[in-house]
Amino acid sequence: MVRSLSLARSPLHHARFFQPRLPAFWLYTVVVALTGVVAIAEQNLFREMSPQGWALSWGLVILYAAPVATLIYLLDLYEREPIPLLLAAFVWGAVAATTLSAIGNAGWGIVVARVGGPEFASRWTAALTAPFVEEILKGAGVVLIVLIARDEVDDLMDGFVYGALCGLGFTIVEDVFYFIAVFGGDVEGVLQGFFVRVIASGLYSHVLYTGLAGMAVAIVTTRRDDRTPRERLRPAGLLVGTAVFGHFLWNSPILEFFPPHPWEGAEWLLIPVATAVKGLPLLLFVVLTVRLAHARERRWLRETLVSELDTDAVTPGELAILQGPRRRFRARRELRRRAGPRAADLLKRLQREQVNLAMVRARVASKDDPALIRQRAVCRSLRDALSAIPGAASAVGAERG
Amino acid sequence: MIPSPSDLPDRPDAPERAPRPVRRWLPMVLVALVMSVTVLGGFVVAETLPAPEVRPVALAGVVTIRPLPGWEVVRREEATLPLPSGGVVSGAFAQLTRGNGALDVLALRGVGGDALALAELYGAEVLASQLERLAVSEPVERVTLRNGREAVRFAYIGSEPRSGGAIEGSVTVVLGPSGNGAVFDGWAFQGQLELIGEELIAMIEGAEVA
Repeated sequence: MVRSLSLARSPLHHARFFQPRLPAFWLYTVVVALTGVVAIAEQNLFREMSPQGWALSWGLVILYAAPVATLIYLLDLYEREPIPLLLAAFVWGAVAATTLSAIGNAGWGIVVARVGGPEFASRWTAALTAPFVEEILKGAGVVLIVLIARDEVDDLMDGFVYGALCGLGFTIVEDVFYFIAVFGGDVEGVLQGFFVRVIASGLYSHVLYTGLAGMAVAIVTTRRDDRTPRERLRPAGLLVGTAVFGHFLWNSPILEFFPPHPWEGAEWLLIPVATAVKGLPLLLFVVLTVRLAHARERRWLRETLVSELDTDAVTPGELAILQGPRRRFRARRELRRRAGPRAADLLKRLQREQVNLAMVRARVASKDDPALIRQRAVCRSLRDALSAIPGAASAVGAERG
Repeated sequence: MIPSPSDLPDRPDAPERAPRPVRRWLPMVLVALVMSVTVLGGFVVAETLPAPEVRPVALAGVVTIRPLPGWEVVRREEATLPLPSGGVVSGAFAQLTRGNGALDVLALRGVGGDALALAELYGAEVLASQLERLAVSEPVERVTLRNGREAVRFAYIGSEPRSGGAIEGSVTVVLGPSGNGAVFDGWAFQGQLELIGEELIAMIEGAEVA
């Protein structure tokens, strides 16, 4: 009885997507439903225009999206986000943001044409409309997700994950549009489009832009930051500005090293070079930002759990392992070898609950808060259960030391 | 003052339950507002700006066409078309493009006859010489343009000999009151004609044929 109580799931995990009490949930739902009708009609048109090309296009973009989505999911080191919320971010990018952006880009495109004239517009419209319109509309989806499940966005990496998945949804629908409408839609055209937009450009797409925008949203909303909201606006603005500038550069005629169309022979090899010139700096910036966000999360975990060392809910050895995903994985693998899969599963759960302990610790004001005491008990009981498994006891004991 | 039930603290021994989410109207309204401005603001702002003067393209004193924003003239030359009777009719040719499609305009002076004959002549002398595996829609459609003028229209598909790319197009032929003829050939690589179709029709319907 005590054991089942102590193994109860952490009270922190209650955020879900379906929350009809929240206005943001209804705004999300209505916008996706309305734009979904348009998006389905567009896909139907593409399917009628070129059934083979359309099917091939979706097959290829799924081939690209599946590993990218997995990578984004795994980038969140400590508390993976709920799948329904991740799907919601993806669907917003794929359905709502793409459809609304098409309308927004057209409207602001007219403004560019009227202000700058047709010649200027033909060169600059894509750079002066899409980066602003599309980043705002994708970012609005991330904000809605945060409003629906505020508790799930703890720090920068959570914002990055939601934003990047929103951007991934956007980019694959845009890719299908380009394969059919710009590259001709036949098998050869789709394959050419896949080479240009995914193989040569896939690393620099909307995933990066909206990942940065998502981080900016998380900076403003995270509870882990002691800075005032005003102080947070500067780094958030810097991230959004970088995303918009990266998108602007990508769409602009600046640094345009594409060979003239039609491409033949070795000219195809120049395309990845041309895309790298524009996209690689932003990719490096995002990699650096993600690494800094990871370091910030590790630092936060260490600082939060150090104060729990004297409660025996986490040991110094466990804390050292807990900070690195690879170390956590190696510890479980080693335990699986020595004490079997059940022990490894239990260790995985202990590690997860110790991360949750840090989350609870960060959210409550007092060290004696009932939620914190309960979470400590969960961790201790899991370790006790682990110690009871033959072969696992020595490992746990060693970590205690 | 009696506190509302939601203000009361949980009993220490009460079972754990998820806190009810707080309704946040203001952020939701702000998000809706920002989205509305982003999506619709461009159209509103554009309405306040003066529309640019679109310079019409005049061909051989026969056709005057106004390119829509984004379309530009990329070719312009004198043109002749051999007649089945042995003679030739002369005029001018212009090609307008928006990148993913084109509108070829052929203006012919004193061509006479009827629009159907000119359409057949264009198909036989121009399309057949430019495209391989040409297929033309049957029967030729008779349409009335917005300005009330009668026209004939047919669609075609074929492949471009140099690249092998499939091309689809729609030809509209109009005869002016003084016997001049105008051929509007809107075309694009396969699958893309539909994307520029409305703009092609708008330019053709707005064209003047003397």
